[in-house]
Amino acid sequence: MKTTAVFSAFVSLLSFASAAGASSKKSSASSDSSSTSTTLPATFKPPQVFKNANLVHVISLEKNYVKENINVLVENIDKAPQDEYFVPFTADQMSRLGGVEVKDRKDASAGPFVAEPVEFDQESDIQYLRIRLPKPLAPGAQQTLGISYYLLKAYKPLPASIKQEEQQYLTFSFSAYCSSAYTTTKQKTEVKFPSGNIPDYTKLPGSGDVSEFPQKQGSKLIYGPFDEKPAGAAQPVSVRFEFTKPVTHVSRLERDIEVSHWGGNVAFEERYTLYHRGANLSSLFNRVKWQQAQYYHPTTFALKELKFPLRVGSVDAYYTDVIGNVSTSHFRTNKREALLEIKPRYPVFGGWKFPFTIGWNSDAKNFLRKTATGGFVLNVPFLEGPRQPEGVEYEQVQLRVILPEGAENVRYHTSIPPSSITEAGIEIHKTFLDTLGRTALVIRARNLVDDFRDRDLVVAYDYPLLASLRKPLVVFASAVAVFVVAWIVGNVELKFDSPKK
Amino acid sequence: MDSSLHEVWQAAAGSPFVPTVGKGSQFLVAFVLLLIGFSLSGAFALSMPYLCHSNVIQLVLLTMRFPDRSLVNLPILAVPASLALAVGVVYMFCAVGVYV
Amino acid sequence: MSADLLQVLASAGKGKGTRSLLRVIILALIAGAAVSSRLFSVIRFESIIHEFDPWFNFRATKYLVANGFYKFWDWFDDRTWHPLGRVTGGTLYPGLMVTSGVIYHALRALTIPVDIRNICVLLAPGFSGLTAIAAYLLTNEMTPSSSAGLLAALFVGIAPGYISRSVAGSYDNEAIAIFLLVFTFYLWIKALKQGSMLWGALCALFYGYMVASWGGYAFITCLLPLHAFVLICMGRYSTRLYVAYTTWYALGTLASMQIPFVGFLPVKTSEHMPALGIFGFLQLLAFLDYVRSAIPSRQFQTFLWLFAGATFGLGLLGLVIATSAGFIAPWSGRFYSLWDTGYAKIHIPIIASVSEHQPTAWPAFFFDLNMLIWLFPVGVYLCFQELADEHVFIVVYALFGSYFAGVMVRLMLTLTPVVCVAAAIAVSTLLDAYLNAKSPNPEEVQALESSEGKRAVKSGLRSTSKPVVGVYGLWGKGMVVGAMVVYLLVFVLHCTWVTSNAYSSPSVVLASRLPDGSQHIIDDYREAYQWLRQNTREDAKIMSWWDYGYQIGGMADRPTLVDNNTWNNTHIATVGKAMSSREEVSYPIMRQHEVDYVLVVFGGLLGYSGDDINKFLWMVRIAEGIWPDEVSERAFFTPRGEYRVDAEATETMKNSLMYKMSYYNYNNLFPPGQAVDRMRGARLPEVGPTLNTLEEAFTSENWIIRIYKVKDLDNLGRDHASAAAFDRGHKKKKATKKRGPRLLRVE
Repeated sequence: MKTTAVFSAFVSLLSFASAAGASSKKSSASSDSSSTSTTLPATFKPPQVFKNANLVHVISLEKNYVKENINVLVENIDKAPQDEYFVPFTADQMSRLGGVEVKDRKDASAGPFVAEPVEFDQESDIQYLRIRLPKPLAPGAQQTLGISYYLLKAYKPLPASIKQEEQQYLTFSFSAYCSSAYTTTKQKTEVKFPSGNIPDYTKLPGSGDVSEFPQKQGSKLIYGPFDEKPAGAAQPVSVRFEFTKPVTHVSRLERDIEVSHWGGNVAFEERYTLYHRGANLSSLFNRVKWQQAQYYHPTTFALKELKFPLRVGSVDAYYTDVIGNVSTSHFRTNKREALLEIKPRYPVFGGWKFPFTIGWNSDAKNFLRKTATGGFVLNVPFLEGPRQPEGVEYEQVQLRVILPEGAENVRYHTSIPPSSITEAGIEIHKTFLDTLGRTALVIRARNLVDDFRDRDLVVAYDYPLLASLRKPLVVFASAVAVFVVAWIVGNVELKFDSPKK
Repeated sequence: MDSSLHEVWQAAAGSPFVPTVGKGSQFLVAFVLLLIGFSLSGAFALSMPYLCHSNVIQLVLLTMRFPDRSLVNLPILAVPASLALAVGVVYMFCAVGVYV
Repeated sequence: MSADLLQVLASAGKGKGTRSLLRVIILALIAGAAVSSRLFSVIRFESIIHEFDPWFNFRATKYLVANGFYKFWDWFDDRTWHPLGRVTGGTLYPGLMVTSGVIYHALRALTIPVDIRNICVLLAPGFSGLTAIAAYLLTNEMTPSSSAGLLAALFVGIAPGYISRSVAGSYDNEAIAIFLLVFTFYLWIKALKQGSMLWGALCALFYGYMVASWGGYAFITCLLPLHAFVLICMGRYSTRLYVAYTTWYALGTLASMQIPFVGFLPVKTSEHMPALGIFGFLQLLAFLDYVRSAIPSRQFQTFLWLFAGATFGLGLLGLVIATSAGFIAPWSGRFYSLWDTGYAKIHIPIIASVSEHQPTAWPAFFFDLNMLIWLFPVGVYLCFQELADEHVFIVVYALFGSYFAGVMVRLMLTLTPVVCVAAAIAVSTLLDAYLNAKSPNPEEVQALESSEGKRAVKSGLRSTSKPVVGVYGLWGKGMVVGAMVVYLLVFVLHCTWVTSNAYSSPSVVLASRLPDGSQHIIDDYREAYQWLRQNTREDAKIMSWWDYGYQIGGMADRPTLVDNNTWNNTHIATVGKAMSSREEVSYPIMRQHEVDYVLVVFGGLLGYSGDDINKFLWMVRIAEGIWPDEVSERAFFTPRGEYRVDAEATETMKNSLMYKMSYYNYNNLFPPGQAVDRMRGARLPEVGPTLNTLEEAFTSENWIIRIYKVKDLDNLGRDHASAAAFDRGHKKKKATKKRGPRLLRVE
């Protein structure tokens, strides 16, 4: 009780420092908010100012998320220069869309273009992504855009439940004509599969010298080329293909990065809520079959292992879940690698869930540098999930960079596509020996995939000397207070009748 | 978002952050500091009136010429004890893996 | 200056302050040793809650921390004892959880937000450090030699008898109760010696804490009155005793009645009657004391006898009437089993089925106390020699404690403190005599003895004269001291070895050695519990034998039918019946109780002895206790009286649900006809059992945990046997039925 009182007294003593810190936090937080999406009227239709002269749509189904690449040659058919190109998506797609990046295919130095969803009508089934060209396109001029994005939760297993030793098949539905807000003169859709085993796919009547679409080339299906299609044209097709790998889905990843100046340490902790979105088991788990299959048919659609290649210099790795340490892990470190291999407690089949936590430490010198101006700059990977051949998708990601108590003037930059970041701000996190709480930069993102592993996050902050001395000073003040109280108590005679010496 | 931060990071390449006390020696430093802190606290406690008959404390008092149970003990024993404890506690937290 | 220094240095170690400083340091080191010797399991495994009951305490603590004290007090838990539920807040001893909760919040206030699990894991070692200090204080009341206190602290700190219940992770009531027990006794002795109401009140306070923490508080409730009674019988009634006892009883009883689980038991049950009786008796004595001082002694004698006899008779009569009329509950079953160790086996199998309720085997005493068990009688003898009030306490405690420790393994725990105190007195007396560097001068002693001898003749009582004790030869001293040191070192070795090997296994996690000597962790329990937690419905009811109820509640977070709080014997017997009956009988029982999954523990593959087939007979016995017509233990034994699981097992055994669930699909793991149960060393029949009403849902890596899903009713309205037969492709089931009677005709 006494010590807490002392703490609070001491807190008020030091509050001038915190006041300064808090005000700067506020200002930095407001400058971070970068949501500039405009609200358009509900009746919005993109103006027909562009024409897609040529379009190649590559859909990659090789991983457990869909990666789509639209390479389109756009031409301005309007009289005025235009700089806004719209891409339509259904509302459902929009909620599962992530990692949108737009580049100029011809000019790599142009950098990623700004692409952001347009808010106009929540009820509407068609939503638009607006791409801002850095330089307005002159009338009649052409530009090649490379639009790439990812679709999460894209597959449905068919059959929905299978036996544990059977092969898993997934279906994916899409439109053979690339959905566009503009007239498309010529287009082709290419679908890449993990293997050549594609038992079912929609067949379309051919055109030109091709009698029937699609054409199959190895593990590839090609729909098209098609001739001119109007804006909004769609031709739904679906494919069903073998996917004997787990459909790993992380519905939520909480990643904490804690910087300690006293200890010279950067601590990482990641909490995963992992699901398998593949086929369920038609009859429940049979250990005999599983053990036999381990010898005879080691490939299975169950998730058996996850491999986390960590940064070199990572130490003290741990792997736990809600009921304690999971002993089935292996951490290999040497000068060249730091590989954490973990196994779930049980093989994870379709429809099953396995939440877990991993964490590790690293020396601060690997991630933290001092700037010339006396501040600090931290460079950490935004995402460090497992590296799996089948890929991993993340629906919700919350990244928390916990800076030391009293850090202020926080600025950050990340190379993750800005459209994936939903929210960013400064929060206070209170933990060991904290009186005010630590400054925590919290970034929430959605619909990321493991392709964005190792995209970095740079955080710069100031950390005044007084703030860094806060912890020992607080302990010091409490200890002195205890001594003073002890001294007073020791010198006061608390008896009614004290025979004075 | 501040894209100039990459340059800041690159510019600071020559000055990685190195803590005052490295990870390897944190426990030793913390232990020694805490030992000093607790010893001084013990001396302080023993110099209290109800315990001041100790020979050891007399030894301490004799060698360092501390006046017995007076206010002077506070700055002479309590403050260094608190300082040692304060820094020792912080480093002990780090040494046991809770990097503060 | 330097001469001064040297002088002070030379005199250091003699001064009182220095000694107390040394004592404090030694005591701190002993407490540190007590804590660290309990950390084997944390270092070897992890910071994890052990065994069974601690999982409930842990779950309750989490509830307390999350929901606050008042919610905890009113907690009705609908996730246990489905469908009955349990009024948990009113049927537990909250002391342990509240202690952890207070520590948790205190640390938070000090900006050290430690995880509640770590607090729970480390609570027992922490309190054992305090127990060492309490033992030191208690022993110091017995003997002027403070080395005895330090030795007692050391013994309590590392004695396996206490470590067995207080290693890190064994988060059970005993973890704090032993500290409270010893400390309450210390306060009692203090109160008795000084006749102080303050100490008596403190004693009552800690007694209240003890009541809040452990059902074993009845030990104090019986021991203190017994001590008082013995003192009175010895003619040692004094106002000190009166003040100490009445203060303790009045305040302590009030304090104990604040606990909902205890409530009015202190005035209603037989266990608490001695305390009440002595309380009344003391009032009587006080009254008589007063009367004696007021009237002449001849009349007083008559008055005394009449009065005492009449009161005693009336009291006894009142007790008998009250008991028979039901105002006072008779002894509970657990207490009967304390008098007659065979009682439980016949009448309450559920109590007998717990291994810690078995009578203690002789080797256990040596295992848990090592050389202390030999020193114990010596210490008690030394107490007899002095026989002040506090020594009487040690003697009474020793007798009482030894008896109960002999009856029930678990009560070894309450014996350990007194053994340590008595042994410490013995060792310190020995060492005090032999470590004295100064040999007495033979002539002086002669002279002294002869003079004393004369005096002794005068007084006529030899025992009152004490000979001068002294050892003359240095060699003899060295021998004895050396031997003692060796014994003490061996004791430390033994304690460490026992702690490390016998008491530091979490039992949730098993460890084995790989051929290359590295440790391999067998983590089947958590694998299965985690599977249940993640991949079944939030309210899926799990049926298992009651041993695993708390673990399922704590780790799998699913409702259970029965658990280790064995308050409802019938419900447990229902589960026992379902396990030991044929599928056709069990299925309706499981449907009625809305069971979704059944969990069994099977050690056949790994040779794990704590499995359900080994516990199966208890299930049968408990079920037979309620349904003697439907379940019969005899039917599970072969005609030759063997309990077998192989081809020769009885039909009842082979058809029981437990047998089927244990061995279902097991023979497919082996080449045909070679399935072996490694636990029981039995070769299993070539054709494994078939299950119709259950389907295998999960089996852990080493087959220790097997989980079955209870099938829903058949869609086509068939019974499960024919539906399952149809699925297996036996379409001619009807035909085989018809063939049955024809075969009879042939005979």
